[in-house]
Amino acid sequence: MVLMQRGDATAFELLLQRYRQRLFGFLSRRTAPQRTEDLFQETWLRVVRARESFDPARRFSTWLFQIANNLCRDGARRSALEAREQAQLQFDAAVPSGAGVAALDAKLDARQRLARLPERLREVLVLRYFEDLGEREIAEIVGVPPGTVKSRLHAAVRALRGVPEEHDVSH
Amino acid sequence: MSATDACRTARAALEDAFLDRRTPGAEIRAHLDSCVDCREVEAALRTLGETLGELVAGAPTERLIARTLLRGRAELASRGPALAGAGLLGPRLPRGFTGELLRLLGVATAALPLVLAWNALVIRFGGRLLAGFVPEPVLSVLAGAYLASVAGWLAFVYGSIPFVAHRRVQRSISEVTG
Repeated sequence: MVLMQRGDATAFELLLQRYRQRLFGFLSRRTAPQRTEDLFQETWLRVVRARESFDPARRFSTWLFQIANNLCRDGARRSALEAREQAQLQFDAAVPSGAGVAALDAKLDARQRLARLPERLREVLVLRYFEDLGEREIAEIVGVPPGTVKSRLHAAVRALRGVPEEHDVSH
Repeated sequence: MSATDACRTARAALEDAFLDRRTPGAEIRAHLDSCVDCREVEAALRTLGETLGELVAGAPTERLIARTLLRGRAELASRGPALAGAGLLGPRLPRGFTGELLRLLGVATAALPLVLAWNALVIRFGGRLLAGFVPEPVLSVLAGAYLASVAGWLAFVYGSIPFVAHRRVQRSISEVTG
């Protein structure tokens, strides 16, 4: 990374090759498939543009995921209204009522389940479950305290199971 | 520990184990043996793990990598080396730092005559005002102390300019990363 900070194109290529799979994997689980390629490119361009701000004392992967995650957030914010409208349309069309909701929940695949999670829960879950990052590193990436990461992780698991927090232990 | 507390603890441990992709410990297993509801939670988490396991990460195409490389190289070439190449402080200074430093120094230098004139006025009129009440030696000491504090303040302000410039440049860069 220090070499790339000096404008070394070979160093950029090495970093790209080293993290291509991890970054693409993260983005493909984090966002809609049609946005993954654009976000992948945009992340690397931001790495190049913001290379001066990289602190060599930090892990490059943490910084890379931070940039990628911020881009995902920006995109999610921009398309939030559009997505809500689309989801509502799909929901209205697909969900009957009552017991039908549970049946539909059971049929949802992994991508649909993740997509239904609120942004703040989805980001920590993908980083923990799929990227296998520790709570401290996730906290650095998403910009919240480690304790918040932990509570969000548990909330994400419960939300994926379709269990409201207050009804988890009911006997 | 009540049944609800035991279940709450067990479920938190089950979720931790799920997130870590490991099997729960012996203590939790013992609770599961005696609790149907928590066994159901465990089963639900196992099913959830299987569902999430179906979400295979995609791989970037060689075409995408080539395109990204091309754009990245072009960006690197257009922006030049990010860091100054030589000098004692050079390798750590971000691009744009020198320009920002010169700008701030220009502003500070332009303000200097005003600051000096103001303090000269304070000493002159303050001296006249106090001349009737304060003995001459004490007045000299007061004037000296005032001058020393002004000099210290100026040294602090001018000395902090490089740090302020660095901070401002860093902030503008970090806006790019979001």
